[in-house]
Amino acid sequence: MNLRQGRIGRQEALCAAAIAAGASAVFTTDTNALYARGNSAYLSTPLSALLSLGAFLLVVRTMQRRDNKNLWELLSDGLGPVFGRVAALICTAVLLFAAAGLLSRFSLMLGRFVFPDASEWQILAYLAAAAFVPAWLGLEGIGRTSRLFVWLLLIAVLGALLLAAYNYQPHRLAPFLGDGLGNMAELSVRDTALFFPALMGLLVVTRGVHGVTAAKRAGYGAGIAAGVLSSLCQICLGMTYSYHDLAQMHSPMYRLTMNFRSGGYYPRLDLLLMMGWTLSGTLGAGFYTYAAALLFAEAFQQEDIRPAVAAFTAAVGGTAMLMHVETDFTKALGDIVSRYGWLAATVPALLAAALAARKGKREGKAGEDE
Amino acid sequence: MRGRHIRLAALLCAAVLALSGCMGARSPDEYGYALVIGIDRGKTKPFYISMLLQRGNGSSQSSEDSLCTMAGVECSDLFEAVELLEGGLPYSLSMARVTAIVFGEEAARGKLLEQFLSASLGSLHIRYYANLIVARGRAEDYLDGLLSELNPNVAKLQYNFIEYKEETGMIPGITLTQFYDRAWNQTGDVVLPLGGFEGEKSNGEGGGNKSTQQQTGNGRPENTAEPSDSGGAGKEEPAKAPPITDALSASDYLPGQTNRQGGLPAGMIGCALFKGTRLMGYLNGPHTQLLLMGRGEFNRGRIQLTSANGEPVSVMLASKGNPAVTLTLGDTPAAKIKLSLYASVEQPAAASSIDKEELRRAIAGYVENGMAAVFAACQSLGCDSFNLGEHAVTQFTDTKAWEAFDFEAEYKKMDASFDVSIFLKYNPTGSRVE
Amino acid sequence: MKKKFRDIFRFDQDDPEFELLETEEGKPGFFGGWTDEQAKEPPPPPPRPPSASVDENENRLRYEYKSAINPDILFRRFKLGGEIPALTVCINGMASSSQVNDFILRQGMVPGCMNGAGGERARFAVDNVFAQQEAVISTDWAEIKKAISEGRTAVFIEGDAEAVLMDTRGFEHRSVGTPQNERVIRGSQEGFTESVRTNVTLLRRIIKTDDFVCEFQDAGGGNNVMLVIAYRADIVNPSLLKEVKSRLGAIDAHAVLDAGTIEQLTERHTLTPIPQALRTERPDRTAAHIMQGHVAVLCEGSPAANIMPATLFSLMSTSEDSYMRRPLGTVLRVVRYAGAAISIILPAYFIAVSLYHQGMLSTEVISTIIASRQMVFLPLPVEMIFLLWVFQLLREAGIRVPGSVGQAIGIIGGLILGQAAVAANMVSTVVLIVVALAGMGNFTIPDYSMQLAAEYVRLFLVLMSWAGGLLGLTVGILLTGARLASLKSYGVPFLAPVAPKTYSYRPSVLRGRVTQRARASDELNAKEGRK
Repeated sequence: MNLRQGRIGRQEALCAAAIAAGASAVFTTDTNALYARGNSAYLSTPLSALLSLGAFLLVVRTMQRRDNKNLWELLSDGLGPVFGRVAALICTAVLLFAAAGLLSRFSLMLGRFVFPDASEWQILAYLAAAAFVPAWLGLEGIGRTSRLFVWLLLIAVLGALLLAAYNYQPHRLAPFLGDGLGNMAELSVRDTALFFPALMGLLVVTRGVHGVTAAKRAGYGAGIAAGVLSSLCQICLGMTYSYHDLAQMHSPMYRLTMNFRSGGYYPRLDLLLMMGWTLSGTLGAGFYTYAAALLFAEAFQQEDIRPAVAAFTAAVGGTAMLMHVETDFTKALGDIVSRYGWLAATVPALLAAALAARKGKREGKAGEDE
Repeated sequence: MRGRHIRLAALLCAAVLALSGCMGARSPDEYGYALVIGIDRGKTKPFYISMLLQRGNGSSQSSEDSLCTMAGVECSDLFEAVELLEGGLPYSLSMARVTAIVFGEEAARGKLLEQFLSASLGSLHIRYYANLIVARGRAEDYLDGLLSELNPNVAKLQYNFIEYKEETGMIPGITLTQFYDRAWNQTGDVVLPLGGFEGEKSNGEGGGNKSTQQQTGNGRPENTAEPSDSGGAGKEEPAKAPPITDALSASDYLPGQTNRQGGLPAGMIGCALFKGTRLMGYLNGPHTQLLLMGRGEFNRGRIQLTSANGEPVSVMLASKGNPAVTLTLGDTPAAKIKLSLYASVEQPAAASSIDKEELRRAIAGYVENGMAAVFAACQSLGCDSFNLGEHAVTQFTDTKAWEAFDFEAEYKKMDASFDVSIFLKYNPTGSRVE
Repeated sequence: MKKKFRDIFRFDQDDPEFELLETEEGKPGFFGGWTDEQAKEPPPPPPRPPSASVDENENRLRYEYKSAINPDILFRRFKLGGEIPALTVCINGMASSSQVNDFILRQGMVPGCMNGAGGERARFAVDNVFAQQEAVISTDWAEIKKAISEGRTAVFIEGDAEAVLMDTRGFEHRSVGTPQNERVIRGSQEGFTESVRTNVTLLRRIIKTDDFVCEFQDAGGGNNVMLVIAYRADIVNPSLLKEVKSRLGAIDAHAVLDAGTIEQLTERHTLTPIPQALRTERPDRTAAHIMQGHVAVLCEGSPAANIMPATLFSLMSTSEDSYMRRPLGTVLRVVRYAGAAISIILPAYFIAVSLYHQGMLSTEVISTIIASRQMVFLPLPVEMIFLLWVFQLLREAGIRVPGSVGQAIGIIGGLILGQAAVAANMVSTVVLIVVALAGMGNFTIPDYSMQLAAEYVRLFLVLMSWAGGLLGLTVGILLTGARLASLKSYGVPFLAPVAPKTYSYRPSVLRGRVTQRARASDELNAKEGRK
């Protein structure tokens, strides 16, 4: 078997998942949906993170109870082999969409702000290659690369927030509850689709992270870190721009860098910060791609993960390209994914967990290192 | 077998890279860099766009080598301007180093500014932290005034403007991105720095048909009102235009009316008041200081008071935090702005001869009265230059209520009061030698 | 002379030039090599133990060592104890003649010394006659021959199908001197030599513990040199040791001439430029790693040790870091890492920003670049690659050119050539400065292999920047980081203890305190050793 899972430590697992979740939550938000009716994103985002962690907790507890070694075992345990495979395909699609979303958003940002003369597919070629190689190298490569770059990425995000700090005005967050609690709740539920795929990815690679218990701890840390970071970003964005402006921006974080204090070298740091973010996006996409390939390989008993990684990377690149195509169909699809993507992300795992939990506890040592 | 796989992979990577191309790589010496762009109304086309282009590096052997050159063309938009100008230049134009965009008065009062900024300037790599300036008269004259042996590096002007704003408060500072963010907002209006050409060029005919012209670094005569180069008919030197006044009818401390000798022909002092994307009026330097205090953008600057015995007293004011704004909306809308400033009298002898409390009251009174007058002027022009809209929105808990609220109408009948606290710094030794 | 001239016009003579391939049999392969079904190597003869007859042993050795044309091999017949025929075999120059004469022949010729020997003559002689500190009895013919080749002396005794092997090595070798390529200001000035015995001694002078093991074994090359595996048995991870030994045991090379050969034959990732073992000429550095739980391999004929496994941080550190006080050692390390980063990234960053993102440069810098490149005909990236190549050329020339001229090459190349190239409009001053900075930064990397590996990475990043600007550079850095992160050296991740995060009592980049009671490296999963 060549599943390239290896073994990574807790810090590596946490970094890989946190980078993926953080990148998705900060950079792939649907700004129009999030801000069009007011800005309550700084409240709904941490709620989304909490909801995702709650769902994650339910799934993990069931896995521990039922001694399921990984997500595929849970799916097949709860839904049976046939429907389990269907659910595995849905989860795989969710992971790949998350990866495609990252690549698409970054290619859009780079094409708009950095390389206006280049076409999207040229930029996507670089991003896809950058996502492909870590996925090809396997979990150890992804985990250790994430651990290696995590401080750089943190500085890239926090640095942007700090350098724009002179311009923050709390009253720009007003109206403080956006369009009301109902809208906030709706957004919280929708945006679980930003956090949950990364946590789901951890459940796929539980063997590589030394068991379900270790995956649980890493998931908590990743969820909390990503939630805090994305909430901080939303607060800072909200203190810089009104909801009216934010709703029209497709890259609010990059627009934030445009508000660095004039004079000196600070305004010229925007591209360097953007490259740091791009690094996080491609690492996140690599993690999603690998997790999707591993889940697919386990569900369909593939011996070698590499064909799946290669095929899925191509699929992710193609999907990211499609996201740039403006037709009625793609717009409608985008709306559906934005509105109901959270269902596809959470329901299969939760359903499997619920059905498996009804079978009662199974004796085993799933929580310990394998 | 493994070696063959690796060779194949390397070949594939090389092919992909070759197919992906170099994404628009150009060597820096293939460009001429536009540093300042001027936007005016054109005669035959909507725009007349002029540019200051930098090529040299100041280390040239010959003093005649030009560091900056000016170019201009009539066009429909900036993209057409670039295409037309490149046809007559030995290099490509790059906007990546644009430090300032100057709008002529006529362009700012009309729809041209909005038309210009509605284009996708990022595709030309225009830096979003380029400063925006409104020039009295024509922008091309202002650009002309920037060419001087005093100014070998036009790019450094941007830093000078920022420093001038920070040190005196006589001009505001606004970048392109800030304009984009606020001009189309419902929660406040922008103010732009006001520039002008000392030694006024005649307006009316304008230089709208100027073609590309070369200017040497030493070529500008100093401190003279240039005869208008209106491209053809030999005209007599026109009579000087009557001095303009700002929104409070002050005519001093405005560009073109500072009666100075030397320096750049183009100067900057005061601000232009906007409503949305339209120029509505001016404020002179001291009034701009007061406006910036109210907006929370004032850092430090000097005011001039007159002592009891008629002598001028210069007081350095410095900000002690953002102003606290309390808004009351409803039937009698009112705004109360509380502000704290540090003050230090620049003439110690005068300071020691005046009662501290009286001095404090005098300074506070000057600021309060001044700000009230500025507010009234802005209100009459319909410009929410104090950004009270940003504070009004905090009184609403949800978007629907805010969007249903007509703040503009409310603003028109709003009363404003100002409460200024002065923290006086004084020299305890009373020594004149600092 | 006249004859030579006449011979030019003679067309009836054979070509006097010797052509080696004329003697080959078979057919050439398309990609080289020869295929000949009939020219198969004869099978090796079955191993035969030594004979009890001295004559037979002598004849066999003479045949196998081709003594008729190999006069180095000395065969000395004598009477052991004045009665028993015996034979000493050694190689002239490898064996110490004084040891052979004084402690074998003289003592063996004492009449009556073999009285009471009985049947086990060799054992008796070892116990009672030969005053040698190392004397073993062997019945393995291959071992006997190997011993003779190493400089030991074999003694055959009539009636015993055994040989006594005694360590009489006394060949000429270089004395312990200063390491040539790892100079330090503070610290030991001793370096390894080509004699593995001496090297082991140098280590034993530093590690004076009872668990310090030096295993001697055949290197596996056709030239039969020895190698030594050195480690501390109470600390080293048994799995690591087993892996090292299995890889060393798998060596079956034509010749093992240097520790570098062993390094190449035992590493897993042969195509990556990154070294997977640390090569050092310093005994103190080797001992420090052994104390941490590493395994060191020394090879006869090589004045260096291979330390396994190696991580990036061990390759970037020197022994001097530990000898300096903490703030000073920290400065050294920070400068070193900064130099390495500048060396690798600066040229690529310059290319990216100049070609794609001119807005990031200040106007003054752009103007300077424009002014310096006005008449340069090479495109900027080509100019950069050209200068990087010239720098390598100068560096290699400086190494190869002997002695005093080598310094002149550096001065001539650096100053005059650079200045001339600028004057000839081949390169611009700005790029020249960038390349010079990159070159100087490269020299701050202590390990020579890492310096050369950095060249690969630098070129890769320059190409990526050329193609994709800052995006290409970022992707290149990510790919390089991912490759390093996935690389393993003898099972240990190359970026440990940073990625994966393992316990490290000392920071990886900054210098830690020396007063802490150090434990062995966590990334090796070594046993706790506190001796």
